[in-house]
Amino acid sequence: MTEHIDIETLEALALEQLGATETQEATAHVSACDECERELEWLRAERGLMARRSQPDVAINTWPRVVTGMDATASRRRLGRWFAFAGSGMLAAACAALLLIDTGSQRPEVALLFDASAQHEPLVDDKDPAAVLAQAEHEYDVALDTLAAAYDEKRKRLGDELPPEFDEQLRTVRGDLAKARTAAGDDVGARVAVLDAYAGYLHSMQDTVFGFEERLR
Amino acid sequence: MALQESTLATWRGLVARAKDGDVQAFRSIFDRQAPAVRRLLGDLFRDDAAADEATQETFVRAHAKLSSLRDPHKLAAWLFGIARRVWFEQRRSNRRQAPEELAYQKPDGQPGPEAVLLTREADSMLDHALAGLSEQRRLVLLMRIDHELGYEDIAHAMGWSLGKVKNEIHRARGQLRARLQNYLGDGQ
Repeated sequence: MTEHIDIETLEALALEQLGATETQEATAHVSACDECERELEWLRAERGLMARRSQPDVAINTWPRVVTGMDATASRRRLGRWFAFAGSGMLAAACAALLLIDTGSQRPEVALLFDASAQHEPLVDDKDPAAVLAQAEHEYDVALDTLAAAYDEKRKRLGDELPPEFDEQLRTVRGDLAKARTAAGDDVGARVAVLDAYAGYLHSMQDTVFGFEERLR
Repeated sequence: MALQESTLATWRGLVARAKDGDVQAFRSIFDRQAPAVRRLLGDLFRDDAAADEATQETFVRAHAKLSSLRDPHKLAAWLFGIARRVWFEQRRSNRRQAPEELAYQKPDGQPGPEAVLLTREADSMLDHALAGLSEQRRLVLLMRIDHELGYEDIAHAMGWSLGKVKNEIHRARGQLRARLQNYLGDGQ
C-alpha cells in the first residue's frame, strides 16, 4: 500500500456515508492495508461507544425559562433604544405632545394630542410659543409621573429578575433630561429639542411598562 | 453532517419564521436542537444543573442573535458556537474545577478491545477517557464523533482555522485511544 485513505473518507466509510463506488474502493483498500483497517476499527468503535451513551433529558423547565429570558432581552433592548435616544439628544421623528389619560384600567394610555406636521386644533394660543411649550412641558411631567408610578409598582413585583443597574440607568437618564431642560432656559429651539427627547423617553418608558406587564402575566 | 434537501428546507422555513418573530417556530427549533446542545454542555460541565442553565442561556442568546444566522443549514454549528461561549463564560465566572477522575477499575480477564468497548463498562470507561482530555479538545472531538459535525462547521463554531480543527481532533483522538488502550490493557 503506497497511499493511505484520508481520515475524512475513513470516517465517512465508518458512518456509511460513502456512495456505492467509493465504499467499494475504500473497502478494497482497507482489506489490504493493516493501518487503515485498524483506523477504521477504531472509528467504528468510537461510533459504537458514542451511540451507546445515554441521552440526557432537557429539563422540563428549560423552555419556560428561555421564554422568560427572551422577554427580558426584549425589555433590555427597548430600554437600550431609549437610553441611546435620550443620551444622544436625537430628535424624535414627530414633534408631538403627549398627554397621558388615565382610563381607570391597569394600562395607562398615551394619546397623541397634536403633531407638528398635522392640522390640529390649538390647545392654547399657539401664537405664543412659550405658552405652548409650557403646556406641553406640563403634560409631559404628568405623563412621566404616571408612567413612573406604573413602572415602580411593576418593578417591585419583578424583584430580582432585573438587575439594580436597570433602575440606576433610569434615574440617570431622567436626571439628564431635567438638566437639559434647565439648561434650555427660554431658548424656544432648545426647549423643543428637549421636548423631543422627552417624547422618546416616554415612548420607551411606555414600552418598558408594557413589557413588565407581559412578564408579570 | 450532511442534511437532506427536505430537512434543509424545513430548517430554512423555521429559521425564517423565527426571525420574523414567530415564537412557535423558535420553539420547534428548540425542541429539535436542545437535546444535542444539552448533551454537549453536559459533557463540558459534567454537572447537570450547570448544563441545564447553560442550555437555557444558549437559546436565549440564540433568539436574540437569530438575525445573524445566515446559513440555516449551519444552525447546529451556530448553536454549538453559542453554547461554547456560554460554557466558557460560566466556567470562568464560577471558577469551576474540573472534577477529579474517579478511580476506574479495569475489568478482570479482558477479552478483545472491540468486545470490551461494547460492554456495559464501556460508558464509564469512555467517560473517564474523555474527562482526561483538555476541555477544548474534548469539545471538538465530541462535536466530530458524537454530533457528527463537519470539520468546517466545527471551525465555524470554535472560531478556529480548519487546519487547527483537524489537528486538534487528530490529537484528541490519539489521546482518547491511548487512554482507552490503558483501560483495555495491551490488546490493541
